[in-house]
Amino acid sequence: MTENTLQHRLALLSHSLAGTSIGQRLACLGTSAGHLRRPAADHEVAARLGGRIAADHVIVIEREIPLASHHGHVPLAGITQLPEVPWLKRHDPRHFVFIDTETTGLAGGTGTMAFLVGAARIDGRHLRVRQYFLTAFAGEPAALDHIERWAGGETHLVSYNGKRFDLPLLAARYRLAGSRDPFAGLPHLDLLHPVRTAFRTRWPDCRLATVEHRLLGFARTNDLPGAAMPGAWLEFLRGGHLGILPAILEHNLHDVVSLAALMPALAAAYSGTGGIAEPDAAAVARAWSRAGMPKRALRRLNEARERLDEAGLLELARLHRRDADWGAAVRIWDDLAHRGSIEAIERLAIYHEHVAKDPSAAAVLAERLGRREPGAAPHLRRIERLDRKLRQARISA
Amino acid sequence: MQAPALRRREPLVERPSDAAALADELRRRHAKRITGELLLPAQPARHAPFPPVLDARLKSVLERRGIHAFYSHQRQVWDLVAAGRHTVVATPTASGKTLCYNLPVLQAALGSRAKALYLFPTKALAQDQVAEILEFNRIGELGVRACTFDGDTPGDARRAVRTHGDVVVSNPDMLHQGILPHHTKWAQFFESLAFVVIDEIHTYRGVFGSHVANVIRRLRRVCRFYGSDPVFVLCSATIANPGELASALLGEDAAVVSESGAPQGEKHLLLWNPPVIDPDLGLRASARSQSMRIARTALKRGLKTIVFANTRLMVEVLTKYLKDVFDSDPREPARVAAYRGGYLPGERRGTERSLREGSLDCVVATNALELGVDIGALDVCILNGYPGTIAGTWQRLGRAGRRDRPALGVLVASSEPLDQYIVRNPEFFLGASPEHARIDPDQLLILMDHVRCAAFELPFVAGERFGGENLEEMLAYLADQGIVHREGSRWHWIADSYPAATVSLRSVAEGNFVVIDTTGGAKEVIAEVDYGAAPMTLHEGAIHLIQARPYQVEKLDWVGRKAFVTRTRADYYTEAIDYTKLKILDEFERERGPGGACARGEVHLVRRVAGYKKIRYYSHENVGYGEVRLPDQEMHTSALWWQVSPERLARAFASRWEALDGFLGAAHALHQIAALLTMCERADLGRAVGDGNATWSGVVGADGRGSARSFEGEPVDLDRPGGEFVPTVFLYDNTPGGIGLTAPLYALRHEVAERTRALVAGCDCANGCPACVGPILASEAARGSPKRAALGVLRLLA
Repeated sequence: MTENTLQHRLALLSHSLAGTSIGQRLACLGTSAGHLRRPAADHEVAARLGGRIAADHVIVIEREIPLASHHGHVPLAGITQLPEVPWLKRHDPRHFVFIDTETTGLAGGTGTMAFLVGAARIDGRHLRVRQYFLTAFAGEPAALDHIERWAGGETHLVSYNGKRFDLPLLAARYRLAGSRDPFAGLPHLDLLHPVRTAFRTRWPDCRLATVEHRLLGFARTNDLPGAAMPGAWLEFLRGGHLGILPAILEHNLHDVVSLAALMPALAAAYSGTGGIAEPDAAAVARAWSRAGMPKRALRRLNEARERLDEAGLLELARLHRRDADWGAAVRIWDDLAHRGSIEAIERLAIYHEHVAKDPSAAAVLAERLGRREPGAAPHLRRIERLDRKLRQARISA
Repeated sequence: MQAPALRRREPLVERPSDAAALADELRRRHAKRITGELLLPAQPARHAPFPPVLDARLKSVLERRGIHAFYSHQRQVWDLVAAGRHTVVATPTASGKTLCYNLPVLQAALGSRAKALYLFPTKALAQDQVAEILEFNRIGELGVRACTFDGDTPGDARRAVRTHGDVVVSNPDMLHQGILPHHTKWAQFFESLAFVVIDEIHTYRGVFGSHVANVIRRLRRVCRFYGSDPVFVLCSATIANPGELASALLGEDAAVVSESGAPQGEKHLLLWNPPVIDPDLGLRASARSQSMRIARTALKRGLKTIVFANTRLMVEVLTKYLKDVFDSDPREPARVAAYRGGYLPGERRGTERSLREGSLDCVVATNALELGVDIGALDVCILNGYPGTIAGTWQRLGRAGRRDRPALGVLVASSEPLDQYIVRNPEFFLGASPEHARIDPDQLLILMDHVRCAAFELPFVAGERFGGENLEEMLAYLADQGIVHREGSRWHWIADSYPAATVSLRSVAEGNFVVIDTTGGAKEVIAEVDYGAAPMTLHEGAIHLIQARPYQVEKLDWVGRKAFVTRTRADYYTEAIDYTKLKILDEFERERGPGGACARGEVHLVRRVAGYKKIRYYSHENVGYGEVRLPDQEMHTSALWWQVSPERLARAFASRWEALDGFLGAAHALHQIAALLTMCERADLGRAVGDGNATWSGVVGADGRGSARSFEGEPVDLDRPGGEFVPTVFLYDNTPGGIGLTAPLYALRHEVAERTRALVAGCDCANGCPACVGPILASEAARGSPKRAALGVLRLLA
């Protein structure tokens, strides 16, 4: 078959199908890429980015950021002396690897590649960032090798949404390159989760840009948005300008440094030692409790006492009850019950029935619950049970 | 004969007997209705010893189930698989096919922890299969882990399946969209993958089969990446060419095992034509009334019976009639049940169980029961109407048949031309091999879809092959589109997309329409209509029938694929008027005969729905028209066409109008016979009558008479002076690009024309009827007999 006939048939097929879904699909495949120019040579790229050629088609850019500096208004030095937090147990700051990738797409699967990986470690009084930039697909195996040497080993990964995206993607790339995944099984702190816990109810979303703005006080200037990354690299690959590359590198650098700054800022929000954003105190307290530190939960709630909503107050009362501090718990429930909280009324009913052994007080509360939620089976059972107890009490009296 | 068994409801079982006795009685009492019959004698079992290497644990499970030897075909498969041969098993229903593949797979899992992938066309079959292996596992304490992996598998269970599953049971769609694009997560699985089992391969034909063949190409490509080369074991129900289909799916030869060693009771088959009740109009008693009668007789004799109907509606109607007779007492457990798609899975499982346990006496089903769902063996199978294919007929008939007792199958014909052809030519049906299942994995659009998916999964390397087309050219095309990027000798996926998500295996043109009932302000989805049928049945103003209930289409959202309808009490139904314009682009081959010529080539086809007619029920008079504005449907495909030389035409017909009637009638019948002789569902082939230069197309009016229209819908005067008249019958491949139906059709062109002529000539009607050239409502006096005209055309073509 000659070249012309296949192209011709494809053209015919796509032409005659115009308007049908397949025609649209063929049309949607994209526009012609035009003539390819020769991509820039490695040494040009390295010079432009201030990096060095680590292997064919792999440029490494290294930067040192003093821990004495600020990112937004967060002092980076905080990473080395984190207060106790529920989402990070034993750790050694020297093992942290802050990692973020820029990829050819967000679709996931085996057809997505990381063309830029940024990974930072704490090195003395600096945060040392290494960025591995590919100038061609062919550089990938060597780059993965270098990344393993810099970021593998005794490592505690720190990422933002890396558990879902960056690390599975890297695992697939190592697998495709025929290598072992050096990050498999390593401790991995995905900061997205504690951020969500603390701020889900406070912020419209928890994207990293939102975190930078609301928690770090960091504003990017002339940032190339993440969504533009795949296209920008493809443009470069097809022989486009080098001019866009510094913006790609800078975007990734900011991502990595924000990760480092986020740790102390988020720790402060959890431990209540300052910060510019007020977290959801009840959610933070629950996180402390789940981590087996109810005292810390209690302290966080008491500190925020003035601003607690119903969920926060119920959590506080729950912690008091747990400590058998019935007086404090009942005061909160009484207050909430006064304001109509069904859960508080129920808590009080249970308290009066089982702790204070005062069935008549419990019965009043049970009746009130029955009126608020008519027909609910637990309320009906409680009313019946208390009726019985009251009758027995009268008989024995 | 056995002593009468004790039945639950004695009075309703009047004369217990076996299926052979029932066949005798039907022969005696209704000799005239039986147009053909066949007796397949009983077959004794042929055994073969267990292979010496059979794992002792497996042997003990088999022995505890009362199995002390293989059937001959099971041993044959074992030996072939052991020798590393791809194998296709094509033995009848209930011949123990499952053991053919389960035993080698379990043996390898026990011995070397080898893994296996099973693919079934439906989730239900996959679940049955896992249950079967788990049962084996339980009895033998084998410790083999079998799990399903499909759209229903919860996220947290998926990792366990990937890493621990020994036998993973899935479907082609999941392999295509969920497994292959994420193959790195399955690395361990692919590295030890030793067997791929694909059951029910006869369902993988046409467009679907062509897609599946490409998914298998991708699967094997990924396996090569992980250094494995699994042996494929395929299973098929009755088709003519299991070996050919298997090798087309695999791209490599497969050994065929088709001689069953399982025992089989004798089987009777009767072809049944309902009696004629109006010879003029060619009207016969309904198939339904005949099926009912036979089913009642069978049930009263205590025979387990299955009735197949071709539509869901007919299933419901037959079930109701049978329940009225046999399930009139609500205190008794039901004896009759319906089984069809659209029922909830739990309900279907329940019916299957009752059938297996023998607590149901009769099931009325659609082809949903054609596949290998385990329902045990039954005595009598009644087909209410010809299923459309010979293979489908045998697959359904296979539901009746026991190892130790006689079975009876009855094919009851409807008044459709195919049905009538079948029962009037019993030697054709009984002698014919079942259809060839055909696929065309290199159909360009389908192949292109999978080249994209494959490029996403692994970069292509120069010199690699994928399908029969020039791969580098296809990749160059994708590179032009910005989908892949060439770097040295490799093509890398570069687009930010997940191609498998946009490729559906089940049809080429995707996007079903949903029908939304908005009566009384509600919004309820009541039906789905496939893309191809939407322009004809969902245009605004159309009366859309669901379970015989009329709905009117108020609004059609073409882009959003939604039709909004309301309940109506209209006393009419609607028939879309569409014009198909075909232009011959290229002629591949042509044969000139004495009367005319037959040719094959590529055509450009435009279909436009221009309007619709409103037709009153019963009187069938035309009570109005409406206009329709819809996008034209364009398609580039391959076609076969017949033309008659103008001189012969002028000699044979008094007028051009008569000739046009003849061409339209001939096209109606040719379409049916062509579908019968090739593979294929009737909808896979399209037909049209026109002049080949797209100046006019012929349409049949409500009165059964032809007229010629321009593409704008204007009448064309065929007698206009100087006008050329080259009427042409087209049969085209109804899939964009074609899936290879017309080449075999061209090879069969003489047989198609001759059999069509014989069908029309042999029809009992006077001037035409639904069973030959299509329904005729007007009288002969108006313009001669359409049937005679069609015969005139067919004589010139044959």
